[in-house]
Order: sequence, then C-alpha cells, then structure tokens
Amino acid sequence: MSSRDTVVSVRGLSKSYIIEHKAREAGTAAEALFRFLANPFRSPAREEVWSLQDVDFDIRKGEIVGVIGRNGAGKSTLLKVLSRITEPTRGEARIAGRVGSLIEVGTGFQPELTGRENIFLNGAILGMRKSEIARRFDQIVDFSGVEKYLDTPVKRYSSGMYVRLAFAVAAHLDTDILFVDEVLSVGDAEFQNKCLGRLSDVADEGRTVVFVGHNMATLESLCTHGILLDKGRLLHAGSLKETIGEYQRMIRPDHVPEAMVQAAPVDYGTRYEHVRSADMVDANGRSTRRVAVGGKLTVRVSLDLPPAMDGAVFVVWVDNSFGHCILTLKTPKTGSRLQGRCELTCEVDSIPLMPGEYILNFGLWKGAGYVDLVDGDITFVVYNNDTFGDGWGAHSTGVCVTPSRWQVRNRALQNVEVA
Amino acid sequence: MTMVNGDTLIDGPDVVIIRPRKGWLAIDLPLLWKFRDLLMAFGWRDVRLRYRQTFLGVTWVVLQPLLGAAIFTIVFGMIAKMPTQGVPYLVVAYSGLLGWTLFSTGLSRASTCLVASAELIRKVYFPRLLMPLGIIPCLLLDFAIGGIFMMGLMIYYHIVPGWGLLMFPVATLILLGMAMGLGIVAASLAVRYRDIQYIVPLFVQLMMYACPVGYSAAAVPAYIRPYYDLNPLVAPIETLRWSLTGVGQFSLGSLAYSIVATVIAMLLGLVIFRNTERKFADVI
Repeated sequence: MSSRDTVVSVRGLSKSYIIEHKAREAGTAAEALFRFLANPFRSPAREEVWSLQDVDFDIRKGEIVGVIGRNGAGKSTLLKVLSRITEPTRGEARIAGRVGSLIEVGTGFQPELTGRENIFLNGAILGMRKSEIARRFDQIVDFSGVEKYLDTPVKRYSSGMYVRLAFAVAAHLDTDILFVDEVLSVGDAEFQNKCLGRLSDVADEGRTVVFVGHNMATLESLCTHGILLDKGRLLHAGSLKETIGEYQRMIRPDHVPEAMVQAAPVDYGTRYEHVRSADMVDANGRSTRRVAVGGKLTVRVSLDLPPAMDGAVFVVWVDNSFGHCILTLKTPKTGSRLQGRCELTCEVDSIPLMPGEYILNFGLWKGAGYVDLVDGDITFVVYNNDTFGDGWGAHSTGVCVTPSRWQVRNRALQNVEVA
Repeated sequence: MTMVNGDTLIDGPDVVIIRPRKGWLAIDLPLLWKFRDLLMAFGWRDVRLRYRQTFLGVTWVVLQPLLGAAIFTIVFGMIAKMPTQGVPYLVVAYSGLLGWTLFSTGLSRASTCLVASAELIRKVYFPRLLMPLGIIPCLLLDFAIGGIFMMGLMIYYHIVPGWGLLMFPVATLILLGMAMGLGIVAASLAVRYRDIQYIVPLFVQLMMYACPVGYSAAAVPAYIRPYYDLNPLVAPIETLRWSLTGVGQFSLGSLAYSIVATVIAMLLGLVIFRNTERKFADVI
C-alpha cells in the first residue's frame, strides 16, 4: 500500500509504560540510595501497561484524519509518539515532511514576555526559523486579533487572547503535517469555528492533519478519514464515516464488556488531595458499571477533608462518549456538611440517559475553583431495558429518556389510563 | 488511508524515522542545526527575563561579584592578609569571582533547566539538549558585563596584562564546559530525583572554598597542594586571574589536566543526558 503520496506510515508501533507496584517509586536520589542499601536485590513488582500495541496504518497527503476512541484508548499516546515527545517502545513510524504539533496551545509561552516576543519564542520552540516567523508575523497577529496588545506581557492577557495567540502561532507554521490534540476545546464558539476553518485551509493547502478529538460533530465537519483505537490497538482505519460506524458498534451497549460487569471501587490512594476512592454501586451496594435505562444510579465517593472546611461542594458529572457533559449533580447548597472524613452517596432514582456508554467525573469545588478534579476513570453502560413498563424500553432516537403517562380518549371505548 | 499488513514503508531523504533509539552517544546534529534559532530564542528569553522587572537591572550582574569581592576583601584581605604580589586585593578577589561566577551560575541554571520546563517537555518536541545549551547566551552576556567592570578596575589600578591574556579565552571555555558538563548531568538526574535541586547549591557552596576564588592557589600550603590540584576547577580559575592580573602561577600541565577533565565531564553529561532523554516526557 505504499504509494508515492503516503506521508505517514506506521508499523507495529507500540508504547508501554512501566508501573511499579507495592512500593512507591523512589522520588529522590537519597531515597533510591537508601532503598538500594537496605535491599540491593529487591526488584519491585512491575507491571507493563501497553498504551499502544502493534499499530499499523498509512496516511496519504492531504487527508484530515480523526483519531477516535474511548478515554485511555491510546489516542494521545499515539500523537505524542508521532510528534516525538515520547519514544515508542517497539515498532516504527516514518513521516515525510515537516511536522508541527499542537498538543496543547500556549505551552512555552512565557508570562513575563510580551506577545511579540512570545510569537518568536513559541515559533522557535515549534521548529521555525526566525526568518520564517518574521514572514508569517503579520498573518499570525491578524489571525489572533491581539495587535493592540502585542507589546504587553502575556500574563496580562485574558485567557481568550492567550489561546488565540497561541493557536495562531502554531496554525501558521510551515509544516507538511500537523498533529492536533484537543486544542479546540478552548476559547469561545466563534474562535473555535475560526480554528476549524484554519485547519480546513491547512488541508486545502495540501497539508495533512491528524486530529484527536472527542467531539463527534467537530470530527464529522473536519475530518475525511478516521482511525479507531481501543485499548491501544487499532480497530479500524478508513473513511471517517466507516470509522464512526465502527466506533458506534463498539460502544453499543448490547455487549457489556466483561470488565464492566466485574467492577471494583477505584482506589486513588493519595493521588488527589481529598478524593480517596470512588465507585458506582447497584441496589445491593455491589460495585457495578451498568445500569438499566431509567434505573437507579448510585455513586459512592469517600473523601478525606480537613476537619473544618466551609463552602465545599462535591460535583458529579456525566459525559457521553463524545465528551459532552450531559448531566451535573451537586451536593445541596446548604446542609451538606463536607468536613473531615466522609462517605458521600449520590443517588439518582431514574437515570434519564439513553442506552450507551458514559463517563463519570468528579470534582471537589471550593471557593472559585476545583480542588480535586477526577476525570474519566469510571466508564459505565446504560443498557436497554423496559424499566418503564411500556413495552418499549428506550426509544430509538433522542438523547434522554423519561417515563411518561398517557391518556388516550377513544370515543367508542371508555377512557383508558395507561400507566 | 487504509488498514495495512506490514509491507514497505516510505523512504527518502526527508523522511523522519521514529523508533526506539539505541546507542550511547548518538547526537542528532542535523536536528540541532535545524533548531539553531531556538538556542538564541531561549537565550533572549533568559536575558529579557533577567533584566526586566528588576529594579537595578544590569547592575546586579556587577553588584553580585562585587559584593562578594568586598566581603572577601574584608575577610581575607584585611583580617587574614592574603599575599597578593602587590596587586590590590579587591582585584584579586574580583578576578577570582569572575571565573567562579561563570562556572557556578552556569551549573546552577543548567541543573534546574529541565525540571523548570517540565510542561514544555511534556507537550512539545524539540531537541532537549537546547535547554541547557540555551542558557549559554545569557551566561556569556553576564560574563561580558562582569568582564567590562573588571577592565574598569584594571584601568583604575593601572594593571596591564601581558601575553598571558591569550590564556583568558582558554580558561573561560574550560569553566563554561565544566559548568555545562556537570550541569547537564545534574539536570538529567533532577528529572528523576528532585533532591538534586538541594545537592547542587550545597556542592557549589562547598566547591567555592576548594577553588582559588578569594585567594591565589600560591597561598595554599605546599603539603596540601597535590590534593588541592586534583580539583580541575583550580587551574582555570587561577589561570583566568593570572591572565588578567599576573597574580599566581600559570602551569600548562594543570591546565591540560583541566581540559581533559572538562572533556570527560561533557562526554559524561551527554551520555547521561542521551540515556535519560527518552524518558523525560514519561517521568518528569
């Protein structure tokens, strides 16, 4: 399949991370030394976790490829390997042409420096020559719309201005291939559209874009092709339409993955400041990752808070598999005493979600921001079931479900009430 | 785009190959060259950050070693009465500090440069070696400003350097090379072990007393000298002062020893850097 216009070819690409169990990894040289002296032959239990496994694909010039998959499918790892931020463990990728990557806009911006200085610094970090940046300078400034503040330190910029300038620099690079991850989730809708437009232009100029996105609408409007990853493996590569079809088949809740039936509480240890563990449980208090349409959703979280903590709010929100937040649940404004060690239980009697895969996120809100933000560790499935007893189960279209009462008046018969 | 079954890969002069890297000392020089403007961009960033938002600006560069020299003058010059071969003690101390500061600030800044830019390492690709190398421009600028002040002192005290001045750039390069070599080792280790941040300042502090900074090596008792001279920083600091003021001695042998040590330090730095670089983004 190697044709002349192939610009990216990937063969057997794999990336593993070593996770050391039992004892925490030594974080300081002194600790490492003491441990070695204490027991020079001890080798910690190690687990190799594969984020990417034997991935093969080719991308041709001018394609806009969307990388699709669940959380943790290896999408970001793929982009990180391809943009050389991290090395693969096995396998090989070849890229013809100059690569630019927009993994996160604005990294490398120096708050103390002015907009103008940051354009040059950021351009250089992204691999541009000074003369190239100078040539593109007006375009960048024009796109970002911050010309009035070019000589102001960027620390005084609003977050919107900051993001606009950062995107502008990266999107005007003279690159043949552009890797983009999640950048479009920032900024206002107008700017997002502008960014999308810019990415389409990039493709029209004959350049190639590889795009990781959770937003299906964005993927559909932007991409021509798709790559579907699951647990680090490539499931499908082809046109975007096919790939989205494969994805939807994959997350279809008829097959509840075994891992979701045999669930266990997620123990965070001390990974977060206050959230210690979280779980979703069924009516018997057993850990589960599935709930029937209209069924009862129960979430349990254990927190370790300071004895005197005022004004903390615990938030649970549910994202659908495209990354859209569709439901937010909060501890009540008054009367929820979030202090000390506490076990929180959140119950939703009738979950109004369509069958599908969803992600639970948690956050502890205090003052004006999140103290803890726990993202996407619990994925659950809402499966179709005739919970409402109307013989239908979930309806075939729509985004939410709710029980309904109907009255049908029929002149010939008596009034009939249907539950 | 399609699924493929492991057949031929693209090839050509412009093709970048991404695969697990092997080899102990493979430095991608063409890539460094491609990113050459980044070196100056990092340099400019440091210079601007250093001289912006500080009340005294450039004055700090002179003031720091000058205050150090003043303290030395009081301690060594007036109380301990170090021999200075007729040259004012202030000049002896300042010329020692000029070389020492180049080494110590170079080492300190290089050692923290990777950890301080963790975000950048996790999110953007560029040759990581440019981060420690990127501090050189600012370092040399500081050194130049300090050097101009030194010239002022020499003119004021009517000190005329001789042919020895030719050794000045050699000594400077050794100190810079040593700072980079050790700095890169420290920076690579600091990615994994954060306590390097505490070890380096301690090392720098202790090292200063083992170097002829506030005194000439000639003042060191003869029976200690063989051990004292094992420190490869002794020769360049002593040579730098000698080249400007004529105080102390010049020994080609000692300088050659330092050059060898510097080359070893730099190679060690590169090897350690190369072999930890691949893990930076995963560990930092």
